[in-house]
Amino acid sequence: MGELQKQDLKTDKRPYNFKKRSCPLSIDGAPKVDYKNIKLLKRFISEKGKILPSRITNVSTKKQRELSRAVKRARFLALLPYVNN
Amino acid sequence: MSLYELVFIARQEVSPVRAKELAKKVNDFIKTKGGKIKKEEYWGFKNLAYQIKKSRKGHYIFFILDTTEKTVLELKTQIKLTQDIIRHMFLKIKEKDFDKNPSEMMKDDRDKD
Repeated sequence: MGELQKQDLKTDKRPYNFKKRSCPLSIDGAPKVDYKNIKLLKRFISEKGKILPSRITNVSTKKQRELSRAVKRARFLALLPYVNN
Repeated sequence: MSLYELVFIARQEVSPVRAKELAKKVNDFIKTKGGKIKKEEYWGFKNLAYQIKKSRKGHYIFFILDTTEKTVLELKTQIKLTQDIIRHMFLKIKEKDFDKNPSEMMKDDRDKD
């Protein structure tokens, strides 16, 4: 993926931003988004325990909705903190 | 007969034996009502992310049940009555979401990173 983009850049006069990186959860190998899978959820919440916006984690809207539902369920079951000070 | 996920947390003062007993009570309750237990797991005595009813730790017990909605409601009232269970959650899940192998929580326990 990386090399491909560099070649595109060479041919182009002004550098445009890289191809939109694919959503880490939508590739077929990705684990299922579930409130039990805290290791996966932990990657998408900030240190303070807030859900990271999809513009930063580059997650597709469908997966972002599933993610937020799973995080909220995990928080209810005290698997994830509401606030992590 | 649809699939339901049930997770409940037993207080820390409760001994693991008592927690298993609670799980068995749910088991019998479902069996008498003609339902089936698809999966039953004990996630262990874990630290809670925040304090619930003055307890910092709790026994996590997880079920996947195959019952009618009526029995789920009855079970919910039963759970609400038991003092030892401080939090519970029912989820209705689709058939295709049900997977045989143990849930991630069990795997986490094995590789303690």
